[in-house]
Amino acid sequence: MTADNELLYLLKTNPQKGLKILMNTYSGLVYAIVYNRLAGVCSAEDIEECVSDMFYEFYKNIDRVDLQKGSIKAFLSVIGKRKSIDVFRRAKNINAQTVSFDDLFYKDKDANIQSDIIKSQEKAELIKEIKALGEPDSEIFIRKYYLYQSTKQISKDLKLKENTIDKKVSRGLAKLKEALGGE
Amino acid sequence: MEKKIAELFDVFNIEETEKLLDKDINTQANKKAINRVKSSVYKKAALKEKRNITISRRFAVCAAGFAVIIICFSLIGFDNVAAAIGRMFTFIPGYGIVENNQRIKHVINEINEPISDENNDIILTVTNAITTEKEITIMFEVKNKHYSKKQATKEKQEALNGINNGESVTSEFYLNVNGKRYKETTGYKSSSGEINVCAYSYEVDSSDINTDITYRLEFNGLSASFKLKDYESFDMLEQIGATDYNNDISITAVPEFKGNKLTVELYSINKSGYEIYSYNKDNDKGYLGEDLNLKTNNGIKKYTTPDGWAGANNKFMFEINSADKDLILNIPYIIVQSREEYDVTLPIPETEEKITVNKKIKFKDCTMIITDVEKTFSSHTDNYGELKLTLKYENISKNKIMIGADLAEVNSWGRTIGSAWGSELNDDGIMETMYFNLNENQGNKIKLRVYDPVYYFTDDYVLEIKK
Repeated sequence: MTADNELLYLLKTNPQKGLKILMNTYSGLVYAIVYNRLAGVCSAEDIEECVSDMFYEFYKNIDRVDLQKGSIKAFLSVIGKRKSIDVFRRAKNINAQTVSFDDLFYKDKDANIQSDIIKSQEKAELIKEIKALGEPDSEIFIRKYYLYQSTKQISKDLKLKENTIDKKVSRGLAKLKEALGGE
Repeated sequence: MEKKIAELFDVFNIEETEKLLDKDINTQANKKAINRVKSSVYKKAALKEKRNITISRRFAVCAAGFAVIIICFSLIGFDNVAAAIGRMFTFIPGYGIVENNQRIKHVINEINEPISDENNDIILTVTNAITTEKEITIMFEVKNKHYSKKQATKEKQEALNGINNGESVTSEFYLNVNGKRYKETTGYKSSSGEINVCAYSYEVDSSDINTDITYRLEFNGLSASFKLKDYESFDMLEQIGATDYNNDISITAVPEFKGNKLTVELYSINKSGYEIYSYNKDNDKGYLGEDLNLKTNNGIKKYTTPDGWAGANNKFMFEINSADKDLILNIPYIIVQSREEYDVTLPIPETEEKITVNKKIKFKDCTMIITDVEKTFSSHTDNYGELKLTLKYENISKNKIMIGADLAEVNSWGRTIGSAWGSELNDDGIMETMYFNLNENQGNKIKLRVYDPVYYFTDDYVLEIKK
């Protein structure tokens, strides 16, 4: 069994142990996704509540986790993103819909298929171009635009100077603009 | 462009996220916040946090390391605490109070500098040692200087494999006594990843156990040296610290004052047949709204606890100042656990139906009654319904109040196959209901194991803390 398979099995058969390993492994990443989005609009308690809800939601729905689609890391990241966006919109009184685990799998039947296809292509291109930046630029982009980390935080985590980070972001944006178009 | 990238990331699905995050991204989060999140998740999932895996490393390892010796002590101990009073005790800071000094010969001779050695990669530190006539147990830490989160994830995967493959801990730590190299007879290891905390016991010639010899713990070219001294013994527990006794459990409070901070460590001698689960409230609910506290002439002080601990947390910190006097530590109750288990079979009703069963499970000090079994259909998952059990208790003694027990489903081979996913507690933290998810081929009955009942022992402990 892979490590993710084993962890899912543990979550079902020994939830105390499984949850402990789950949170020890992924709490840093998930907390970063949620905190960096919500800091400034929510209190520390609300942020922690969001992260806690996120893990609990995952735990409640482990029977629906399909590792063929992606790893536990991917599932948690997407749940974290969607929940934090939901909380952000509510905090800002922007029109928000409650995010549920179903949203990870089911598409809105009224969605515009054409628009979905275009977006999928854009996302695929984005992944390809970000990977093409090489390391550490690729990771810098993920930290900055996926995790919403500040330059200072990225500098601390990657042990690079802040102006080095800024230069790499600037050059990377120029490359992406050329490859993907846009302003 | 930046906005477009962020907006696209926000709508990534699982497969796209998988491709994007194919490498590990190490992030540092606020440790206290993460611990609060963990507690909250356990609460929502109605699970008890397995504190005996979380680390107060020193406590965990001391407990593990002394297991070999303490097993012997329990065999030659006393029937109850009253009989033990007035006997000799050894107090080992960071571990506990040990009765009957005849087995312990020496403890480590503490000096101001750490007993350690290091190379480019690791630091080896001896933290404690204790001997009997023929055995030396050494507690030590090995710190990895270049540890990374990536390595932590890899090791966790390997640990998971190890659980399935039955791998055991191997040793390369030798005890050098005057040129004689001893290999360990038993070894215990607890790891946080960056730091491995170990307790290894070595059987040595009795002529090699004295306070004159310089012992060396050797590992990969490193060598940490230490000597032994005679232990300090006490006639009475009160010489160690303020002590109170209830239900064959004595609790001794050992205070440490540093500036405006008072840290109280609690040590027990426990002959009750129960294990101490907690000295303070659990699940944020205390019995009758009460909790451990410090009374002073200026009012009541609440405690804080360390970030991690093993077993029952025994360390409580209070903010005090020079004007605070007449310090009394109040422990209104302790929570204990008993190792008992019973299997029961319950009928599974039709969906949305409730059956009165009044199934009694007789534990030593209480009868737990599963009064009703109800099957409901959960609308938020694709499961096959869930079972709700309603619980009541008949306590035998007024001062021993049952809180609840663990429940797990048992298969036809007698093996537990899944625990309850949730429970509801009343304001006193006593379990009133439990929930089980049902499976597709559940049938019309379920076999459950009810085990490890937990109680409030409500006789209070009052300990005067002297400055």
